[in-house]
Amino acid sequence: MAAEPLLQVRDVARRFGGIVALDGVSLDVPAGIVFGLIGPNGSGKTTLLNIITGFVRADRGTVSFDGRPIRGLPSYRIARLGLSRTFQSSRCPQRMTVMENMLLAAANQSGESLGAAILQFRRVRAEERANLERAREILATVNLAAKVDELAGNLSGGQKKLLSLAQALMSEPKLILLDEPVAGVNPILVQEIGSVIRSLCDAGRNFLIVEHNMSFIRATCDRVAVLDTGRLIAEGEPDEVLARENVLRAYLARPTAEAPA
Amino acid sequence: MTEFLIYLATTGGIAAMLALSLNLQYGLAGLVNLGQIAFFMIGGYVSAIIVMLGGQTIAIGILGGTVAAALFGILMALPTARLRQDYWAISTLAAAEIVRLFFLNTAFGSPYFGQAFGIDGIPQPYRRAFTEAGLTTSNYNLFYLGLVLVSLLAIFLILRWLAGTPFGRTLKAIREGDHVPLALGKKVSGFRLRAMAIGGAVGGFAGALFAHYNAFINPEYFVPIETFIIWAMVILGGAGNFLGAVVGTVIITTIYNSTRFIASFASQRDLELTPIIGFIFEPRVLGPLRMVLIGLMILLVILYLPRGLVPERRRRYGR
Repeated sequence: MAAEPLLQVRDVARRFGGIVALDGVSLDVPAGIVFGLIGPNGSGKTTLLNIITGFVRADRGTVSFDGRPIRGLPSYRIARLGLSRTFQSSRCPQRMTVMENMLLAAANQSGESLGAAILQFRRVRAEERANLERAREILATVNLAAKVDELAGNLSGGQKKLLSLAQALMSEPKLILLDEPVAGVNPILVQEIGSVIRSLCDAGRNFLIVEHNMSFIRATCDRVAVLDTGRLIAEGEPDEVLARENVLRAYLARPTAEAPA
Repeated sequence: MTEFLIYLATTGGIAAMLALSLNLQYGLAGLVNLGQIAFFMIGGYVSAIIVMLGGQTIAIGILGGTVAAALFGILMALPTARLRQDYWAISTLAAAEIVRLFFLNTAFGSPYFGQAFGIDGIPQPYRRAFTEAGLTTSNYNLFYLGLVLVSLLAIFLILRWLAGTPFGRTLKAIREGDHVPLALGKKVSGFRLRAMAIGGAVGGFAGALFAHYNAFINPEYFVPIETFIIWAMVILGGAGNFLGAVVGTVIITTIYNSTRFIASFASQRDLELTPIIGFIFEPRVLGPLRMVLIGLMILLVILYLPRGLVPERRRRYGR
């Protein structure tokens, strides 16, 4: 029997008023790879990500993660199960420093409870110290070590994306969902983000990436699925899928859509 | 004159507690609470009622007022947990008015206890001991000032410490929106609830201290404009910095009461004044003028010092 996929989406649908955002999408994201999700603007990628992480409710269908049904759970509970996500516009708190952002992201902090903060301050301090060390290591892997005390709001667009990724890593998640991790980032940093993701994957991290940048998808993803108008139209190896006729048509038939590079 | 300065420092110290409480809610957690004065009112009324009608000690009264205001903070946060920030702000303004109208229309026991009469003759802690020891009212007022300042220092230290804990850090993240904290597994509504409970407790404690100092409270003391004066203190001082909240309180309290000094100064010196300046020094003009001055200062701060006189500090981890 094949190993159960880490994330399993079954027949998920969602309408916004008269618009069908998702029309029965099923998707399996296995562990151990970087999984890409692409599709033209408005094809439902972000809606799917929002449904998986509990920010938007599905009208029907099931979502299970690590063998547990998660559809309908509040987003903070889904996050605590080990499913971490970033946002398209890197909304990490701008008036907090890079390190504060990192410490914020650590999971299971006893110091977040008032009782523990008062009564178990030794334990809280020990946790803080451990988290601080781990945060420094992660920041070093994403090349943000020099920006520890910089306000997140003062970082460049690309650095904000890296901080979001570092934040997601900080919570030791089983699966990381990245929403457009390289949109608006300069080509050199795109390569750098790609190689960071590749090496994290080799180190045992799992990724689901929503992105428009085709060369990034080709270089980074092991497997890719294509959404068009709320339906899954292709899935497979990036090179093969990106050459399929219906995928090309989905991207090229629209005057505003980006052509596969 | 000294008596008046002691009075000013005492009420200013109590106001500073309110500013600290608002700084926790707004400066740290981004909660636009326009009903801050409700905590103050509940603290004062509940303590007075517990002591005068319940026959309990003043300490139990103050504790009761503190707890009641904390519970009211939770009550305010519960049904409004899903509201957007602007709608949430309006709901707090309404909640505070509901509290004021409740006390304006409710008599406790006798028709002269509560309602528009307010509560008169609220006992003062250790007052009798002072009288029996042959000490004067001045001595007592100095004692009360000490009590207020010690409490203020304790609240300041506790809140500032809290801001540095993982709890406080999560509040700071929530101030910039719910999405990121939620995606990081933080139960945002729970954090907001706790910020409101702590803010309520501090506000209620201040209200109880005020009631037992002033010996009289009346619904007129707790009108919405009072909340805006607390806001002025926090914005002027620097939202997010607890020291800033205290600095803002000192400045606003001084301006608010300065008219008395200016008026008496002008009349004592019997100055030769030009008609325009003489007009300004008339009490009926000076009174409203101080609000204009506070408004002007707020405008200048927002335009030129958007982070306030004492900006929020960055905690450094670099080595």
